[in-house]
Amino acid sequence: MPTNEMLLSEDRAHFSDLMDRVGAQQDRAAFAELFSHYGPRVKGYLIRLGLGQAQAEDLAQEVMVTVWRKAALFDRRQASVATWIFRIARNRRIDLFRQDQRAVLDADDPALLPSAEAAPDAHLDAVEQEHRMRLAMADLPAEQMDLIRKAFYEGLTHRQIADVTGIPLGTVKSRLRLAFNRLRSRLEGDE
Amino acid sequence: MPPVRKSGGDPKAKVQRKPLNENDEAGFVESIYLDYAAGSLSPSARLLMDAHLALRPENQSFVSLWESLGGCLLDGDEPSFEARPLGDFDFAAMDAPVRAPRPSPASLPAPLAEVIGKPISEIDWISTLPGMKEYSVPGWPQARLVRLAAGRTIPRHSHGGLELTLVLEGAFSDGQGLYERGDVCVADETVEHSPRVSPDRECLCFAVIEGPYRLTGVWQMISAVNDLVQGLKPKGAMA
Repeated sequence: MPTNEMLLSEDRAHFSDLMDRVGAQQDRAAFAELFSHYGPRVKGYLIRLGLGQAQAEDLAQEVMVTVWRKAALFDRRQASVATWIFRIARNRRIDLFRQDQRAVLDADDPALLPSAEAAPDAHLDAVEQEHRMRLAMADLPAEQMDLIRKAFYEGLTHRQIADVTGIPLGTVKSRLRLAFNRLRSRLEGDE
Repeated sequence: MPPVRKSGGDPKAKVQRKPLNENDEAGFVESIYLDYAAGSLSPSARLLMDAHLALRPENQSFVSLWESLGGCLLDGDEPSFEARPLGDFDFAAMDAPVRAPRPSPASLPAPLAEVIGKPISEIDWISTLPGMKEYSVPGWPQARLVRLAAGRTIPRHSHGGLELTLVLEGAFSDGQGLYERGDVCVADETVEHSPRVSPDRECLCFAVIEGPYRLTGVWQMISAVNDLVQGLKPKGAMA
């Protein structure tokens, strides 16, 4: 009986395979699967960041168009599909707020290109890194994970988090610091 | 070479290989990478970090660590709407050619070169203080290129908010360490410092200063006069 963690790893390899098929052969069936999995999630992320339904829908579509067009730039050794799409969505949202037509995401966007990092052994393999991140997230107390989600994923300032949760600002800051430190030390440690 | 370092304060606050360790208790330097990954830096601070990462691609790993948090959150997120049927997706229209990268003027990292759009030699500099020239980047609030003469000491000052300074050419030190091409000096309202340009050559920086910049000591008066003069000039157009 496979554990959830094993299923997740298989899923992730599967999504990378799909991206490779889109990149190499413009495989529409592969893209359809990516679209149905990530499209709604990207839209949900954008709504959490404060976009309206219609705008989030449009932007999520744009993000998925970018995924289709730039799939050949995806490198499974450098990032998971989820992280790669997260970067595209994040950058699209920033472009939207800048409202600068010159700044639209294109193929020059460094976030999309394989990075010019040193030898692969200089850094934790991306797959291993994300595996550790997932485990570290699961080990965090729920209330710390909730603060991280609000600060990192929902774009709330520390002040806004204090207002929403009723936790004093100083406590929000110290708990967030503690929580981010825990994640980072789990990822950088050799445990 | 250290990545982004906090300026001033306790010498122990100097950050070596890792952007966050026991010497960065406030998480001050780390938070720059974290906010960059989350997409919550101001546009100008983001541009500065883009330029930093173009010059120091090895530091991308500090960012990608936090981007993987974003990926995990995205993956674990429950879908909040029914995915649009793919009938809406026009594959044929998706084959537009990929644009070739634009050439960068020499010595500006690509993200900055694209925004500034002209070589350094064609920039109209404004003298602010003796030995100090600035160019405010149109459309990018609080972002400026700064040229400092060799050996120049920047007046001792504090900050009303975050101050990020990316070195593009030359070098300066602030008693904390030496900042060379690609290094970012980070300071905030808790820091008062007086950076000094290395004596052998001019220093070109890209700086983003959020909140008022407060000169302390005798330079306060000179700055007040300078502000008055600058105030009489037309401001650059903002996008």
